[in-house]
Amino acid sequence: MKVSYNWLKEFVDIDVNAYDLADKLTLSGLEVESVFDIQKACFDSVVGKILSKEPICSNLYLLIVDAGKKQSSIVTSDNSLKIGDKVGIVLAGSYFNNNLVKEKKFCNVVSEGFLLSASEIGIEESSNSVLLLDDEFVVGSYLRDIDAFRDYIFDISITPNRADCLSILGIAREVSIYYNKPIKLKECKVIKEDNNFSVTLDNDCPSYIASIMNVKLGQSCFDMRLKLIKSGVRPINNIVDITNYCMIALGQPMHAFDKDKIGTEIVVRNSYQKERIVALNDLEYELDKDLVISDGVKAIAIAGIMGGKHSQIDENTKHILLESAYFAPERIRKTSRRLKLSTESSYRFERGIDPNLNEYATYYAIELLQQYANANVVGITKNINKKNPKRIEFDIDEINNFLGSNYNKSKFYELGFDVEETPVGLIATIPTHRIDIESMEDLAEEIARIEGYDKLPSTIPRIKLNVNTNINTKDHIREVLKLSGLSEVINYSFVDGELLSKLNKNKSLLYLKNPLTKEQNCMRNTLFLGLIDNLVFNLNHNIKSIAMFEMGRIFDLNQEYDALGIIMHGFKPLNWYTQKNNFDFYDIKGAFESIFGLFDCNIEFRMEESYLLHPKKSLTIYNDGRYVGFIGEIHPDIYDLFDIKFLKSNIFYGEILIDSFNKFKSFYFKPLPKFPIVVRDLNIVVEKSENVNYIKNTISSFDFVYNVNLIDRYDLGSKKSLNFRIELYSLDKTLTDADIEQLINEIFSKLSTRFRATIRGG
Amino acid sequence: MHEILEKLDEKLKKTITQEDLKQLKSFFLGKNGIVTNLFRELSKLPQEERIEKGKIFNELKHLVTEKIENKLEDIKNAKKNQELEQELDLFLDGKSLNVGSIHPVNLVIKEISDIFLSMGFGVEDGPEVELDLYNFELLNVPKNHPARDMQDTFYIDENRLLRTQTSGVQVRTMLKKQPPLMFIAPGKVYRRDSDLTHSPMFHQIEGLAVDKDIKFSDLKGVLETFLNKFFGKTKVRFRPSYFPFTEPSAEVDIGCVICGGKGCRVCSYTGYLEVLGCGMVHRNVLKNVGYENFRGFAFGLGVERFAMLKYGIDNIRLMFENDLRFLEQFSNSFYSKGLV
Repeated sequence: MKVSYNWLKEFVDIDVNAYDLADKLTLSGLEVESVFDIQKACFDSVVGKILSKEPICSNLYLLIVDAGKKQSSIVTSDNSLKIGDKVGIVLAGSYFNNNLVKEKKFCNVVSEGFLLSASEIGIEESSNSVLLLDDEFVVGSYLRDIDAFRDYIFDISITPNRADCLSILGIAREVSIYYNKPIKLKECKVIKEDNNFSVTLDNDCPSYIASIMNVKLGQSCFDMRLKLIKSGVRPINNIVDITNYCMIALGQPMHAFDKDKIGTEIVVRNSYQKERIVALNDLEYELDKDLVISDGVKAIAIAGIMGGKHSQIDENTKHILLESAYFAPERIRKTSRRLKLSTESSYRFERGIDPNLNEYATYYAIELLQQYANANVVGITKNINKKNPKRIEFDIDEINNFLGSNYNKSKFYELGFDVEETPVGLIATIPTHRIDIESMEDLAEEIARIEGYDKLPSTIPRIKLNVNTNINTKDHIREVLKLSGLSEVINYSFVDGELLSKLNKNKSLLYLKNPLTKEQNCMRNTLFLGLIDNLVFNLNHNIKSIAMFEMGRIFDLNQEYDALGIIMHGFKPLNWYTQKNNFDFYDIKGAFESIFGLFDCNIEFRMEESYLLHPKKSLTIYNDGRYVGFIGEIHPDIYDLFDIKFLKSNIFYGEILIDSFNKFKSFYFKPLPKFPIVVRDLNIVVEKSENVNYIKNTISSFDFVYNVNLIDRYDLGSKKSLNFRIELYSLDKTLTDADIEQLINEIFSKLSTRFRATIRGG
Repeated sequence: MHEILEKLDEKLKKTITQEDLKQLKSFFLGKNGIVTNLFRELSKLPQEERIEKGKIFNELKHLVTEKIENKLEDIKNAKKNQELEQELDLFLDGKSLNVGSIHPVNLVIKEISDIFLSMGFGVEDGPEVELDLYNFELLNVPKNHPARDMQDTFYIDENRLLRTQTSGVQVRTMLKKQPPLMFIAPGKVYRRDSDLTHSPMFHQIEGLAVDKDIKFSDLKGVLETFLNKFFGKTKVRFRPSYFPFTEPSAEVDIGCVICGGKGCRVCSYTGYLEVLGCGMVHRNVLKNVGYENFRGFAFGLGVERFAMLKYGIDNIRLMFENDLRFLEQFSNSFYSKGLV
């Protein structure tokens, strides 16, 4: 909310400067996001008076403006300006916005400066005309010396609970509590009810005051216009401006109907089904059990949100009906959300205004209307149900214990609440504007906030609990992969559903109801889309060596799983000591195997097809007989789906579910051999289809085999040659040549029966 | 005798390798060596001559041995000197593991988690597709509550949404366990918001402590300790604020890490940076999970913001673009190891 420092001072005396006040507000929960110094923003502009005006060319006018020291020619496009108007003028040769202002030529006419709009000063987002100044201002005087411009605007972020602070008065009440100064609120004359006009209430509108008066339409005075502009509201005409002024000043939204355009009564009711109304913004809304103001015949306003076009104040308006009411926040909020229509009025009603404010606000408005619009009240109907203030019992010890504080009783008398001591304890009476205060905790917050959170002590909780230090398996996976040369990425969990369904046709996908874009409309059920995107992105940035992984959730219709995806492509990083070497299937397999090595698991690779992968260059992975993922080279069809048509092969991808890898490997120490280990190579030939892993396991299953490694492998027609380096040992003696030969024969004979192995060259 | 020594010197001159020297040694001192044979002939001489010649021969033997040994020493030295002359291109890069990198978000999650673990917090986890019930309703944010405007939400259907905060984990844990409780819940969260400074997905760490006697001052103490550990010694400022699930609520600022509090663009010239939201768990929330006579505090922080401040990253989009030139800068970053 934008708050003028000067306006605030009309409601409460302030001894501190604007910046100190801003700090105090921020530290008390009303966060001041910025302080705008208007005086500084006016620079060298002065008051000028328009002496003459003549058109020069397309939509431009030449003005002669008396700027005090001299008369200046100014070219403007604002045709609403009249001779005699006073305006802010920035002359060539002076500074504005830290820039030297220069003469400019328009249609061959020199303009010796320019006229100020509110947006040029910086107090309005966009202006469609020059800011008209007060007639009283002295020509030639600096704007920065005029009180109206010696002001600051605070931009205050009001939290949803503090609806009471959505007004100058509300902020003033806070300030009055901080600095212990009284609120200055003018007394307004109470106007007696006269019952000519019928107002029918609704449960969700317990209070409605309709004042009918004759008015004279016109422009608001400079003071009111400038205050509205400073508050972010555009001035329109004196009637509308006064309703807005009251809303900003007091926090009571109001609405003025043209009395001659509406019927003879006010009925607050639920809209009929499909009832329609054209609102002030020229849009037609279809209502559905929304709260409306009706004139007995038709809806004339969407209650608390926006008036109808039909009964709008216009230049011919002579009689108005001024509405000052209270509406239930939930109702306004619901309608505002459904219609996607939010206004200054709905913003306040849906957060909850003071339910007892509308009477005072009516008198406040009427006095302004009398002063600025020659208003003459012809009738007023006050249908009011006052709300009683809440009374909250509280215990100072309980509050101190809750906060860890040590406040004494006197502090509780300074919170802006009436506090009485009763036999049952202390009772605070909460003023009706503080709808947010309901419990002990709320009172605790009030005292802590007003005294300052920084005054509270800092302690450490004395909680004794058995934290099960569940070891984070993901941390370890992450670290192993990092040390293996892979870089971790994080991608959005939502992806393009259309693309995803092309990848895995049979899966049902979890779609978002309200995605930001079509490319992010579906929860991923694989990490592949993100990683392939990253691959393409990096290839496009000329990065040729890519090895990345991601750990994150994947989703099906009803469940989510933690997954690990790895993608590799290109050549391994080149060094002076390595040869050019491409990533291949065994790199991705090795990466996963190094993960499996960490855990207590029982991994089996199987030759089965996976949807993303080349049918002959991929494996599925099982842990304890349960499917957990797949690895391999990307299927040729996939390349066409992405921006990687220039590539035809050599992208390797693997993905596993990591939920089942939850227990680190535990093992018992194996005694070191007492007798020497001997090393022998065994070179065998088997059919290509034989599983090397099974052969290796068979060799290591002999108890005299200490270790076995495949050190060479090559194709031999339909067969393959395998060279195993086997370390042999015995627990009770040094092996002799004869022993060794016998053991190797034993191994070989088992391999030949089980895998039809023959000796290479034999 | 002179002849023998001259012969030896001559031969020694030609000797270069250790192998040659070994042959030379056996030529003079071996079983049938020249010097050995001299001794052999000694026995044939009369005693007096024998003693005299014996002395001379011994001297000869000694001289020969000494010369050969000196030569051996020379050869060894030459060899050593030759070896010492060998050069390496010393400034080539060492052969190293080709190290990858851990994403900065996860580096920071780990570091923050470890600080809280050291203070006795546990870690809990929960689903990212969350029930409206757990993400909002039980947290004192009923439908149509104005606070729902603060968080624009992705919905799956009527009841399910992408969690906007990890608070659902708190609710689930409270429904499952009895106090005392003290844990953090790190993870991805989603808000329907995407621009220069907002990402529709980001990471949060929320924390919760519930016990009979938890105080607001405990919250202050824990967060001050945490922030001073993470950012190094820093100013910490608690400001009253509002969250529907806490009362009282606060936002926490630290002295700007960029300008040191003097005021700069990053801190909008306030000297402070907002880094945390927190408060005492709202009594309605405790009631909703069936806790009676307990109190608690809760806090939440955005991991990306901490990471951006820590590493000076100025654009949140870098976090999810996954440009290897960005990611690999973190290959040497500290990956917190256990208690701090």
